[in-house]
Amino acid sequence: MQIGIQDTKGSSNDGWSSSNQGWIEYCESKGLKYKLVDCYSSDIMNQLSDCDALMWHFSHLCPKANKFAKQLLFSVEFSGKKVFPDHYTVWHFDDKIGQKYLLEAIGAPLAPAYIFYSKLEALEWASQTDYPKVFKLRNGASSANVRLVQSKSEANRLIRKAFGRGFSQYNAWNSLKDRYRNYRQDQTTLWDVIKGIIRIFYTTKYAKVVGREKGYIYFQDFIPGNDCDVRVVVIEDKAFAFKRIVRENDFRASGSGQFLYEKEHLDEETVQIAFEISENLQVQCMTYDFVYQEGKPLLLEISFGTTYEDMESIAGYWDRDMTWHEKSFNANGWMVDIVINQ
Amino acid sequence: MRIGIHSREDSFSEYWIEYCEVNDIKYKLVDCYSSNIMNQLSDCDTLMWHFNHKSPKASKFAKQLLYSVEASGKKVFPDYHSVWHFDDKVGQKYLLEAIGAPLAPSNVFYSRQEALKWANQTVFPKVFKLRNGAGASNVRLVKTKFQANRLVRKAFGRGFKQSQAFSDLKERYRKYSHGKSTIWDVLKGIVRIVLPTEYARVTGREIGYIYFQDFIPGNDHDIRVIVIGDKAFAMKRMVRKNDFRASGSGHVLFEKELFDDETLRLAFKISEKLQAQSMTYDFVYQEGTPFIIEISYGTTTKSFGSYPGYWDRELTWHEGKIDPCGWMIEDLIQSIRAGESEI
Repeated sequence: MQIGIQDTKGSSNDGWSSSNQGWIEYCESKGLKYKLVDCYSSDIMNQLSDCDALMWHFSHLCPKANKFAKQLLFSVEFSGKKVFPDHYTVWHFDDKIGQKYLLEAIGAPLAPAYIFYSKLEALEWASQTDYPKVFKLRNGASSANVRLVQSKSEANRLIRKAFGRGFSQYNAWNSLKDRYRNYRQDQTTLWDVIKGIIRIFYTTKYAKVVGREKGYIYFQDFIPGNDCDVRVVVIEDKAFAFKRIVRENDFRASGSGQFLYEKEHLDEETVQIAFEISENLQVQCMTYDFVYQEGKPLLLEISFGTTYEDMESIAGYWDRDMTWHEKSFNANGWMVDIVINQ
Repeated sequence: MRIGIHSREDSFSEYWIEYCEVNDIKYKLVDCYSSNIMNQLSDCDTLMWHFNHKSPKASKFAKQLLYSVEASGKKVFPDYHSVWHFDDKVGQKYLLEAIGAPLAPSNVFYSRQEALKWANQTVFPKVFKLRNGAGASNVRLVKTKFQANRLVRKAFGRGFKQSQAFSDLKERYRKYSHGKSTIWDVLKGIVRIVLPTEYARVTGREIGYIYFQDFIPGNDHDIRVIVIGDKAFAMKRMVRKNDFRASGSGHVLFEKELFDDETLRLAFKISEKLQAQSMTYDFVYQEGTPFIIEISYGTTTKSFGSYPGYWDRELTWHEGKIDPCGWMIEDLIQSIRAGESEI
C-alpha cells in the first residue's frame, strides 16, 4: 500500500497545506510507504498509477486549487482508490449554499438560512423578515465575507449589489479594519496594516481568479446572546472541541484568536450531535461551528479542514462512546489511519 | 410514490410530465429556485430536474441541491454520478483518465509558466476549450505556438469572457446565411457586443487555467451516442462548413447503418463504469479508433422524434419511436423499488 500525498514543497507549493506535512511525518514515523505527487500537474493520473490512495488538504483560499481540487479528488475516488477528503466529505466545502441544502436535507440543526436567486424575491423577503440577519457570501473564510445586517434598508442595499455589480471576494476596507484591530491587540505588525492600505488599490490574486460573487444572496438568522462559538472536530470515531471567544465589538468568533480548551467549557451533548451528523453525512472528517439558542445547539457552518495550530493546548478527545481521553493525540495521524483502514 | 419535477420549457420535463399523465404516475411540480425547496419535496420520493448549463441561475446551485436531496435518501435525476462533471471539461478529463476511457488526449495547466513550456514543445493544431459553456462557442482551433502563447497569456491575465460576442455574431450570421435564422437574430448579435449575456455577467470571466485537447484530424463528422439505462440511440453530426466543429452544424443523420457496434459497445461500457443514469458521448475517430471529445448527462429534446429506434445492451435493434424521458422515469422507479425491497 502506497499513499500519494500532495507535495507542498515543490514548484506548485500552494503554501497552505499544513496537514500534508503532518501526514508525511506520520507516515515516516510509522514506516508507511508514501510518495509525493503534484496534483497541479497535467499528468497527475499517471503519477498516481502506483499509489492506492491520494491525500490532499487543499485550501479554499488557494486560487489554483479552488479550480479543480474537488474534481480531481472525485475522479481518483471513482477509479477505486482511497482519497482524503472523499466525495461526501468535500463536495460542500467552502460552499454555504451547498451546506444549507445538505443540512436541511438530512435534518441537521442548521441556523435558519435563506437563499435567493432573484432580486424580486429577495426584496420581498427582506421587507417581511425581522432583523438583524447575517449576510454571507457562499465561499471564503475567516469571516471576511460575513456581515451583520441591522435593517431592511441595509438588506436592500446588499440585494441590489448582489444582483448588480456583485461582491468582490476581497473586501479591502473590512480587511484593513481587521488588520488594524489585530495590530492594536498586538497580534500583527504595522507592516500588515500598511499592506492592507495597499490592498485597497490592488486586489488579491484569489479575488481576481475567483471573480465577483453575484446572482444570488444568502442570509442566515442571527442567533443572539452568544459570546463564543463551539467548534467540534470529528475525525471518524473521535472528536475534540474548543470554544472560540467572539471578537470584541463584533459578532464573529472566527479570527478572534482567543480560545478556551478546557473540557469544563465544552458541552458533551453538542459533541454527541456532531458525531451523529458526521455519521449521517458519511464524512471522514468534519469541523462544526455551533452557537446556542436557549441552550439548543445550532450549526453555523461546516468544513472538512481546519488548521490546528494550537493542537498542544487541546486537553484530550472523546471516542464514539463519549469516553473522554485526557491525553495528547495526533489528528493528522488519524486521517492517515482512515485512508489505510478503509 | 410521488415524483417532484421542476418544469422548464424545451427540456425533459415536458416529456416527464406527459409520461406521468399517460401512465398515471403521481407527480408534483416544484420550484428548485425557491428557498424552501426542501419543504416542497417533503412529500416527494424523487426530484427530477433537467437544468441547463446556460442558465446563469441554475449553474449556481443545481448540483448542490441534487446532491443534498440524494443525501437525504431520495432518488434524483440527474444523480451525483451522472452530473458532477457536467459542463466541466476539466472534471471530465480527470474522470475519464481515471477510469481509463479513451478521451482525446487533454492537457490542463494552472500555471502560466508550465503552459508556455508545454506550448513550446507540443505539436499543433490543438483545440483550446474553456471548461464550461456549450454549443461549441468556447472552443477554438489553435494552429501555432504563437496563437497558443497568446491564449495562455490571456488565460493567466485578464481571462476569457464566457460569451465571445464577435464569434457569436459570426455564428449568427452563418446560420442566417444558411436560412436557419432570421436577420433579427443577427441584429441581436450586434447588440450583444455592447450588452453581455446575463450568463456571462453572472459567471464572470474564466481565468487561472488553460485547457487544450489534441486535434483529431480527418473527421468530417462526429458520432453522438446517448445511453440511458440499458438503452442507447445515436446520431451522426456533420462538421460545419469551413470549420472543425460538429456541434451546432444542424446537419444531422439518424440511419441505423451509420453506427458501428464497437462505438455503441464502448458507450455502454463507459456508462456502466461511470454508473451514470443518462450520458451523451461525442466520438471522433483516429484510424478507426473512437475517441471521446466530451460527455454530458443531458441532450437536446428537439431531435427525439427523428430517431428510428434504439439498441439494448446486447446491441439488439428495436425499431420504432423512442421515449428517452419515459425511460428515465422507469429507471428511477425501478431503483426506488429495488431500494425498498432491500429494506
